[in-house]
Amino acid sequence: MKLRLYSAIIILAISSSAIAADKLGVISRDANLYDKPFRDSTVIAELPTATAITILKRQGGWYQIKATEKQGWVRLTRVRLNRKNNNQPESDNETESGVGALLTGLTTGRGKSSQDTTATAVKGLGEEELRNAEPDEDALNSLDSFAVDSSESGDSGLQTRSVDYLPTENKKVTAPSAKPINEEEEEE
Amino acid sequence: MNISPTKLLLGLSLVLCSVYVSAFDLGFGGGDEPADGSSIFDIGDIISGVKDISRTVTGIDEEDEIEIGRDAASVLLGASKPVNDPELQRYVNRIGRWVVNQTDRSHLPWRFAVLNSTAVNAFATPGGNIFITDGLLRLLNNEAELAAVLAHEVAHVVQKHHINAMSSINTSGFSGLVKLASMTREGRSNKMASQMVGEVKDMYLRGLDKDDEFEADSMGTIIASRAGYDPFALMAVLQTLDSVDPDNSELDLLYKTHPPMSDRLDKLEPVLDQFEEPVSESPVLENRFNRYVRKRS
Repeated sequence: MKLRLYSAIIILAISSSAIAADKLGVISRDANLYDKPFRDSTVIAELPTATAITILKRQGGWYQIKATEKQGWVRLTRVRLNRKNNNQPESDNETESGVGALLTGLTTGRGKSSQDTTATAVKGLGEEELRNAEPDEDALNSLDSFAVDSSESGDSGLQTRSVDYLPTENKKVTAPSAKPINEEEEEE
Repeated sequence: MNISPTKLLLGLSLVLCSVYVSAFDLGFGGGDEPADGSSIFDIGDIISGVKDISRTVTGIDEEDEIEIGRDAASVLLGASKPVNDPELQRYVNRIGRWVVNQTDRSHLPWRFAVLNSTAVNAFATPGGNIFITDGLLRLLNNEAELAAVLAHEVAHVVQKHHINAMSSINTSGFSGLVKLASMTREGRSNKMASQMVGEVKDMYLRGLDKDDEFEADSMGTIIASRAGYDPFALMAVLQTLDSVDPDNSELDLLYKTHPPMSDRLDKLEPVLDQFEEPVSESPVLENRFNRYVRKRS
């Protein structure tokens, strides 16, 4: 168990996809389990609040999940991810504690980039550090060298949409036909 | 910066006028009107505009806002330095700039930086200084999530949440804050400077009003989606944070200064209901994100 946890930390440290592996969660409010990630697809089941689920992946506003021996899609907004400490099932599931494990990994030693990290203290911008902070104008001025002005920002590869700040029920927004720039081949 | 009383008065009245106008522009940041023009006189926007006028009626010169923001940023940078990775910092600034271009305050001197802190948090200061900690950055999965976090902070600046909060800390309100800011710069009197530093610290230790946080979640989601990113990315980030053990010390300050994650998720749900499927085509740009962020692990 302990060994598996450590290997989970190592995997998380070197691979971003590990964190996206199966996660455990719970239905936060009565939700339909759909056949496909569309609201007008077939409803396979009705999942009551607090149903335990396994999350397979996210696609836009939907999670593909497994619950009560069925597999399908639920709205992202009806799901809460499990916490490491209080919802841990008896079975040793190392991916479920992924985020907590990652943080533990960060605090207990982040490898080469921070030799001065002590075991449990927050490094930088914890409450204590903020209380004791002396203004650093040099650091502030150093930010200028990374600044990007509006004329330099045309290479995002994204297509903008029109969306109002205060939504009303009648306004629907559809996805843009945005394509990532040149060699950026995305898997989704 | 020297401010004569006449100039201050003139500046204030100009600001009041422009606040009035820009408040009604809120729904159409960056001039990107809806194609069908249907929402030009959206009642929701007008209500929001009125609310905004009342909140900023004690107005503040944008120059002062920027200066106060620089003071605040230098205090935060006193607690944590930028990560020494020019490529990464430049990347985060490119994302941030693309995001702020979707707002009506893109003209501000925006600066973005990743701070070398294991704490999980992000900060904004007035006038457009946005910081994300390395601890939070490492919890994110893709560029859409990074853009969403930056957009949340950008929304605080667009709505001047921190200026409002700081003026409530200063016993003389806005005028006291403005006076403090200008006197600190002119005289550099140690007493004034340390009062300013103290008020900045109070503000960031106390946090914003919880409604300001809900508003930043909602506006941030919309700003990021205007920028073309997956609209659900901010909710995904909040869900990730919600799954972290709340007793983890890296989240102490975040939780002390923000409403409970479950409340934020609940408030965000109706905002997301407007986004019709399929939005799965909205890019999350995981590869580009990994190229800059994961290479360091």
